[in-house]
Amino acid sequence: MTARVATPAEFVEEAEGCFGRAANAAGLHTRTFELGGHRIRMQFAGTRLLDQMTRALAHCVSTEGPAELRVLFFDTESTRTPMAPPAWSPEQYTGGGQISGFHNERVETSYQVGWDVFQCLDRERGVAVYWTPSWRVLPWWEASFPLRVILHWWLRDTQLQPVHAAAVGNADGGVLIAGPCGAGKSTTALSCLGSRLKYAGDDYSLVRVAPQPYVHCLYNTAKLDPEGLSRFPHLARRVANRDRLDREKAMLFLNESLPEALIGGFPVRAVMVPEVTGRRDTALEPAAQSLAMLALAPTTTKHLPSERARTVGKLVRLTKSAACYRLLAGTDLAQIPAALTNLVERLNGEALGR
Amino acid sequence: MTREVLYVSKPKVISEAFEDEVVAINLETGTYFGMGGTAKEVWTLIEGEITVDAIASAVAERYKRPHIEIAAALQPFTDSLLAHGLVAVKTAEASVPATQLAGEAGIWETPKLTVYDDMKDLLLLDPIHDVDETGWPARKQDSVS
Repeated sequence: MTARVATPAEFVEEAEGCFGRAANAAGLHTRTFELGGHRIRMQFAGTRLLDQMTRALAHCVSTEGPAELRVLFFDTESTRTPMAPPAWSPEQYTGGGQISGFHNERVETSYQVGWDVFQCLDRERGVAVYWTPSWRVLPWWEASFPLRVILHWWLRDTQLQPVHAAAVGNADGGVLIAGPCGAGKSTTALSCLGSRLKYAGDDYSLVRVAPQPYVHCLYNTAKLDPEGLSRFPHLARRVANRDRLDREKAMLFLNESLPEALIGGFPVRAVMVPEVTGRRDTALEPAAQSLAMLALAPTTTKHLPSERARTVGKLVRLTKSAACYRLLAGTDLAQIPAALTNLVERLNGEALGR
Repeated sequence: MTREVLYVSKPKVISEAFEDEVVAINLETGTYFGMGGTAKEVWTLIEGEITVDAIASAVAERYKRPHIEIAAALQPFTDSLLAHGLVAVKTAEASVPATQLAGEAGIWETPKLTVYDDMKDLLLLDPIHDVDETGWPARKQDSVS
């Protein structure tokens, strides 16, 4: 099949035009957020994607003002507005979501096969478009980390990077908790609710890697599989998707249900790599910085495959300027926040000369 | 006279030396690799471009072990580096000076390449065959809830 001809930048303009028609048909809704010190405007054609794409960011709502990036969301079904036809052939879709040969230094494009989500960014004009044929088929997890791919692209030339890690700490500093899905990031982070450590994420966090590592709470969500939820029975009534737990992880929006547990950000003192031991007691042991790198990088660059070399470079800077510890997580959950609090307060004291 | 030397497959491979371990990534496949101990030392030698025989000589000298024993122990490791595309072979002039390994030698251990292959599920994705009348991938009916 031969693709029609359009450059990536022309395609973004066409997609922007489609959004304009969709917004005329279904209504324009605007929300503004400040993420990692950058004001970003999200605009929606109709309301079908609005709640899904903004709830996780509600703790970052910003005042109106000039935005550095405008992200346009629409779906075809609810707005009855088609997307421009692809200017590439089906063979160009890749497993990682990139559209091979249809991106360049200025423009990024992605189509997540199976998720039916198309995203593109024109860096030069500061415009991104997020489209799906139907709001009904949007995967549930998209609501837990909206903008993840677009932010990754847009922040390419900065010291900021969305990183696959949980984060807990206090205003003086805290830790990232790294590892692939199922490693215990959520359990570790959620075990700290109610302790002296505040919550800044359980899945993706926004990290400024230099000059001093600093983590911003990017998403106020928490996700737990059924086994994880059974360890936190007191959170069950706060689960937002209780009627869909047969096919979705339990999702909490802490900005709504436990706002006092959240913190906007803190300096990163260390990277924790959890290991579930099956033993009762929890212990911490110093580990090599390469362990932090190997816990953070493969999983982050798997989810965010474009600009892999730049991402790896940022993660090297991060892991070489933070300590690394292995968290030997025991079954007695109360010991985890106690161990982490002791460590965080000690590291903060050392860093601040107290 | 020319010889075959090993070299790091840049730019598709990047690596970073941490205190105890080298972390390398094949950017084309997204696969990560860890190399500690003697594997880190061998990687350091390959970064300077070197023959397999010269690696064996440098390591045998460092650990005071017979050359034949070290050469046999190195073979599976260098084969693995080649198989994963981390290094390649080229022909170079004969006199390739070996990179000097810094610091005290530790305890000899057979070099090992640890592979962190988190990308398999992505690479196994089925290619797109069906598109709808607009040109976008056709959705499966059962994906609509």
